[in-house]
Amino acid sequence: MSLSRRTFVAAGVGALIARPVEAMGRKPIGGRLRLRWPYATDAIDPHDLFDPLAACLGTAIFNTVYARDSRGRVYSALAAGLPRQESGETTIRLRGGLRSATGRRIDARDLLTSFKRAKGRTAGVFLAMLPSLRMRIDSSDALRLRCGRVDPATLAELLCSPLFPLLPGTYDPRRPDGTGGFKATLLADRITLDRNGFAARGSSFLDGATIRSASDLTSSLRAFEMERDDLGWLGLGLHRDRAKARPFDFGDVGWMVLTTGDRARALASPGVAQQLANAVNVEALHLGLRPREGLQRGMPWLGEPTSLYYEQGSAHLRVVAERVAAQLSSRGHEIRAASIEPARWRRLRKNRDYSLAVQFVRDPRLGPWAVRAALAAVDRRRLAEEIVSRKTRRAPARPAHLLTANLRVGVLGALSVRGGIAAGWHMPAHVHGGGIDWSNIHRL
Amino acid sequence: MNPRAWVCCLLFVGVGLLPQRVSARAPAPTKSRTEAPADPSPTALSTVVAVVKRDLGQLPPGVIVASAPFTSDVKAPRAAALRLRLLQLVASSISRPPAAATVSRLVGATAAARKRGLAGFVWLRPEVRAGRLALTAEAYSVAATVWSRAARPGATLLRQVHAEARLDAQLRLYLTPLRIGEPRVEKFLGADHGIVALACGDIDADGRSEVVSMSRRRLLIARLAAGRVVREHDVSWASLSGIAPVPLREPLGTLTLVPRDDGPKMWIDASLSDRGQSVRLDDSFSVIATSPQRVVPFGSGSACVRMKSMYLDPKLSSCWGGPVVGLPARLPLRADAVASARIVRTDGTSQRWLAVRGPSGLRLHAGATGYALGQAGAQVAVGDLDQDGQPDVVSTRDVQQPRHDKVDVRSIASSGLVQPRFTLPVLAGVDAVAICPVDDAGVAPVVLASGGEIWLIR
Repeated sequence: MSLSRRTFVAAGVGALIARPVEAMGRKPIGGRLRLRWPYATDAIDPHDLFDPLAACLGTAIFNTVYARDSRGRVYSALAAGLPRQESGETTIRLRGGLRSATGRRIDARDLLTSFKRAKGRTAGVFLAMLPSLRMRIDSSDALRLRCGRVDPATLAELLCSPLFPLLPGTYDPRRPDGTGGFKATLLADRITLDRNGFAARGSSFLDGATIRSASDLTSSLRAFEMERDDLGWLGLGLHRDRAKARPFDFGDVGWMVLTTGDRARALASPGVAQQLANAVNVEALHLGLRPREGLQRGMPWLGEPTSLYYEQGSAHLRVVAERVAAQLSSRGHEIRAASIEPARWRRLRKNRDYSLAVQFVRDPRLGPWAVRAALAAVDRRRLAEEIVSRKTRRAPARPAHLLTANLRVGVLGALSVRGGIAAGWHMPAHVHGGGIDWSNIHRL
Repeated sequence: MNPRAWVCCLLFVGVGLLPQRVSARAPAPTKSRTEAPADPSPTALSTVVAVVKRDLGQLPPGVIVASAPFTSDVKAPRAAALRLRLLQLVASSISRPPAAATVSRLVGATAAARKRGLAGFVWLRPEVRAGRLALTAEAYSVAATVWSRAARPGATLLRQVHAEARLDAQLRLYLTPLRIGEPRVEKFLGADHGIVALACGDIDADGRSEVVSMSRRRLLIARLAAGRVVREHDVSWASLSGIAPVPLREPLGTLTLVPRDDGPKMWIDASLSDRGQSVRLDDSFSVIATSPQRVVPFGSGSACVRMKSMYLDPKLSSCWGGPVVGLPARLPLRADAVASARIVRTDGTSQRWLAVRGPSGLRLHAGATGYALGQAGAQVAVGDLDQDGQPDVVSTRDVQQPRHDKVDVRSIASSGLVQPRFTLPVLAGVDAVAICPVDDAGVAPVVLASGGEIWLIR
């Protein structure tokens, strides 16, 4: 697949034109945003297709090598230009002088390590876009990565995905480090964002932000209504809307899905998970998910009493799991929501050694075709890679819950980044990465 | 020395001591409150005199200087005084002892030279036109003996030289004062979008001002003609400098036109926070020098600063090597917008003014004296629009919505009084603003960039 020339803008120019110059005064610098949300705050892994924190906060901490502007054109963000073909091989050259938030110099070795890391994790499914990818550092240029005989346009397209940010070689999800507008410090109960003085695309306007971990879906609304927070997650208040607050809706960053494992036996057949999900009246349960349209008839759980797993640490997953369990349970076919420690969950998921589970899947932001591949990755990695590697990757946009007919995945609803922002703040949507454009938030 | 020459000198001394005209807009000038020493920046008068002296070269000893009547395309109530002043300055610069004749015709100068037994004379033709003082100087020789006189009855032209300089406050004293009134706006289509800095001046010394614009993509030299921005030269930023390791999210750019030491053309000093290097360019956009620091205007030249926490660090230093008068120095505050100009005062001295915008608003400084001008937008220019020797500040509004933006022009009197002159709404917002050199009989024009247009405001 190749993109026409006009879909690219000149190298090095678009990196800094993502936002038009419109303000006559300059945007105020300073301020600290306060919010809380129902997700774990102790680790963030941008190469994890199933990490909700990466979906909601990744653009604050990380940058991709390439990005798309508001018209969908690809431009170089961290590279010195678009991928080039030299002697039959595609190469990428990074901009000089890049540093991570901790001050570590970034060069092509880090790009190579980022690729390798992604390959070993769930984001690696999408490397099937480039089956000929063979990477090595250019011996004469520490900033240049040779990538083998791959299509330059496809390589740039892949590197636009928030699943493939440029990370320093020693990346640790519990001590995240990147080139984004903020530097993040993760604690068990909160995330502290501070302005990154080495930000490759410009430091944040804010001094920082404090994001606390909430234990349910109402804490943020309550705190926002009482003016203890500046952002209300999923609404403008619990009992009544906060005065002068403005709503925002920055689209969907992924989906909450119900998945059936091998222990569900006959009910683990492809398509059943979506029928089960359709039986959950998500739209009436205030689960913070975007309503689904065009639902087909659902079916109740008719299997043995079982557990519905969800990964420990995320209040949103817990609430969704509990409500799903309650809705699908019936006498003799009870379902009990049960949290599971992350490492154990990864093992069970890999082996499909469970009956029912609720989890999150990120939107890879590679186009409508990639949504089905992401959902398939929940089911089977090999199936997802087959979808990715198909030569034709054009597909009309369809609701995610209509893409799961032959998957063991059922979409419960889209996780949308929406809520309310207090007066005195300007908060834009991220043009390409989805969700909030954290680095461009500023006071009014 | 010929007694008549002494009379002329005395006449000149007398002219020099005439009281300065008092501005109608401000109290009479008092002793300057600034503490900054006036550094030797040329005035229009000194410029034309220096050029004439240089280009006339070696002259026969004992020439006298005479002048035609002064001509002007503007009303000049004190034209005679200006003529005499020029006569005195040229005479004192080229002849020892200074000798001037108060004749008003060439034949009279010839006769005066002969009568004194001099080898020749210099004939001046002073003129004010199109915002400039133009001085043509002709060196003549006269026949020394009766026989040579018979062969050559008149004077023989040896050399003709010409010098021009834009009007300044010292000259304006002799002319009708200007008034900054209601603006007249001309709009020119076809400018780049997203312009972050503008400059205006006669870069290539062809007698016409060009407009230089800087966007995040390129630098462009253009003329304004027939409602269009007509491109002359452009260069992409990508060909000048790589991207800065840590750019600003909201770009900070400056364009400064600096007179060259080696001729009448100008350097273009350009700096953009997106880019790792600031550059000095010539009028064809060839790179002359680069600097990793940010270039800002500083008087009639430029200076360099570093970025510090998303602002310009106050410490100013020389950009391109070599000493610069007034450096090292400091901005009065950490800034995100800087404008500067060296303004000639009515007494012929000059003063460097700095307009600096920081978190607390816009301030105007000259030496230790500063004026607070309140909140303002990030586009600012300073100059002497009406040639009264006092700074005029062009600023915009500190707004986030373009439709609320306006251009404000204010004058600062010698008393410190800030006088609003006019306000002009700009619905698409002001991207950049600059003051152009005087190019006609009126007030210096202002140019601004707004959403793909250049506005020329007179």
